[in-house]
Amino acid sequence: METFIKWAFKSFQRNLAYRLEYFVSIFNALLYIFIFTSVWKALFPETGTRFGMSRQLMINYAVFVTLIKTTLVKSRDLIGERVRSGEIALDLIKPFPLPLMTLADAIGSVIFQIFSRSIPLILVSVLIFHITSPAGMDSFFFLSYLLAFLIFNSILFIFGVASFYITENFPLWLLNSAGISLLSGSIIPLEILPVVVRKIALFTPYPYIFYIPTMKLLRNEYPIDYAILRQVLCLCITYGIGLAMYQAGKRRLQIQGG
Amino acid sequence: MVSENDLLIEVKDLRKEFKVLKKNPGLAGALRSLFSRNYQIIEAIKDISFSIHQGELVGYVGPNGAGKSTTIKILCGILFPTSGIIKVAGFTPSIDRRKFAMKLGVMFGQRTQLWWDLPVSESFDLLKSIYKIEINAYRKNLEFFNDIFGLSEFWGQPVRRLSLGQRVRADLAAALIHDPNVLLLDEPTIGLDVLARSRFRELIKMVNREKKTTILLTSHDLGDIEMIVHRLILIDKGAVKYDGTLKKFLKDYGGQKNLLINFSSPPRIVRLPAGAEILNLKDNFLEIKIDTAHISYHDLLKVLPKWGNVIDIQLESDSLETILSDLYKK
Ligand SMILES: Nc1ncnc2c1ncn2[C@@H]1O[C@H](COP(=O)(O)OP(=O)(O)OP(=O)(O)O)[C@@H](O)[C@H]1O
Ligand SMILES: [Mg+2]
Repeated sequence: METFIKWAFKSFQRNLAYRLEYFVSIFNALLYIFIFTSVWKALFPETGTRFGMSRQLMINYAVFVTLIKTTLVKSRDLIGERVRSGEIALDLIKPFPLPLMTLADAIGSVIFQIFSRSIPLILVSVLIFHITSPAGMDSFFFLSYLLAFLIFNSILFIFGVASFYITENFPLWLLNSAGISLLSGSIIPLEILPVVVRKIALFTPYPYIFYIPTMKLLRNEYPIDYAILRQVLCLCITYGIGLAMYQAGKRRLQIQGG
Repeated sequence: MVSENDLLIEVKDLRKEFKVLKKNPGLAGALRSLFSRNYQIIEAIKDISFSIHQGELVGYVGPNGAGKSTTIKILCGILFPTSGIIKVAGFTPSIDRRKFAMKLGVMFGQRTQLWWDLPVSESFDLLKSIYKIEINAYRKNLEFFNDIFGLSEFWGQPVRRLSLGQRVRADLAAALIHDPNVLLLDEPTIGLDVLARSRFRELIKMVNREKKTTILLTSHDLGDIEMIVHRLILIDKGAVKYDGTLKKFLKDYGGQKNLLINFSSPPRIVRLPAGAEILNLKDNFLEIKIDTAHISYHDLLKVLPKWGNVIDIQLESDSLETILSDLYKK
């Protein structure tokens, strides 16, 4: 446990070392918010709803989903990179399980990002995009956010561990990125997707990362217990798959480099 | 003296195959390989058996691609063997990896187990909790390694900014900080300067002597091998070629000696004995190679005065380096 906390802390520290990445990511997030709030303003009528969504709701969605995304998303495939370089050998010789290592790492960086990124982003959003305080800001939201973080991490772990089987896991990684951008609601809420796609999406883990917590935050009337239950189920499944792949994959792993 | 129970590393009938996708040449070939499942089996280790007792210091040598690194990866449990029995300190490395990791120190010279972005000090702090090292032992060890390798010079710098030799020094200390029972070193002296290298050799001998750490070491720097190890395991193409003391190896394989003889005037060579071969004759100097299996020094010394007036003789025995390079050529 001490190691775990230390690890998370070190990861937090490591994030401090990359200043450029910090500014670029904030700029990126603002750009996203700006583009999508403009798009929704153009597409949604000032009064009334479309696809059951009002203009204000859509704008809030764009802001909050981007906020959640910037704190959670890690675009690097750490495990895959270490497998390709062979450095994974040095993680595996340590008497500390790799899944916990990656989790501690993610916790450190998510805490860093919550503090460093979301605060300036919220300030700017209040000033420029005139968001209103969300209705569902309560402990259920934080639970949902926590679950989203864990699910996201499980998915990263699954795709990372895939490199134990196929060293060049990049195509799978692309697939995952596509899933995140289309099915997770990170760009457009599921309501706007065609019905078929929406139904398919709900069978993948992606909506549980961004769509569900954002919706929970925006409209409290969403049947939240049900959603959180589904998140828990999704976490169990993805976590189980990841762990099973990891256990079986260790046999297959060919440590690169002599 | 040594009993069966002292066995610390046991490798029996080890085999390791790598399955690699066969690539066809050219663009058309590349396209075809996309769909074919044409695998090629690479036999990295054919058949290796050896056992090492508690407290031994063993050199593991062989030409490039012999399978040394592969063996070490299997011994630390991160690579699964295709077949064979492996026991290290009573554990089967690939199965009990995490339990046994506490007792194991590993260093791969060309990689670092420290964290790239963190200062050296923070990396060691992490190792301290990962290996649950008791604070006093930790301090004592750090001080010890600092004396030897001068870690304080770069203690606060991030690992990515260290020079190669500094990083290797830090990594050696990291492999030993938790007082492992077994130490596996794969080319640990890469990039070390002369001073650090000789300190490394002292350190390894000391750790082996005082902490009874069992050490398996691969190195292409034969100075490391000659000056440190008692026992040598030579492998080639995935099989053991020699396993025994270093002394015996030098004696058995180092049959050739070179002599450089200085005469007072150009020698007149009559009746060259069998087993002797002239390498070079220039003015008063004669360089001659003798094969000690056929002729002894004694016999040669008897014939030399017949060739001229001997002023000086210099003797050069085969070094490990020449023996091995002859063996690798075969
Ligand atoms: N992941 C891998 N996939 C396919 N072949 C491999 C792999 N790793 C090693 N090999 C092959 O196995 C053989 C042994 O490699 P190994 O790295 O053990 O050699 P080595 O004795 O350490 O050599 P060196 O002295 O160059 O370090 C080589 O022929 C190498 O090409
Ligand atoms: Mg090697």
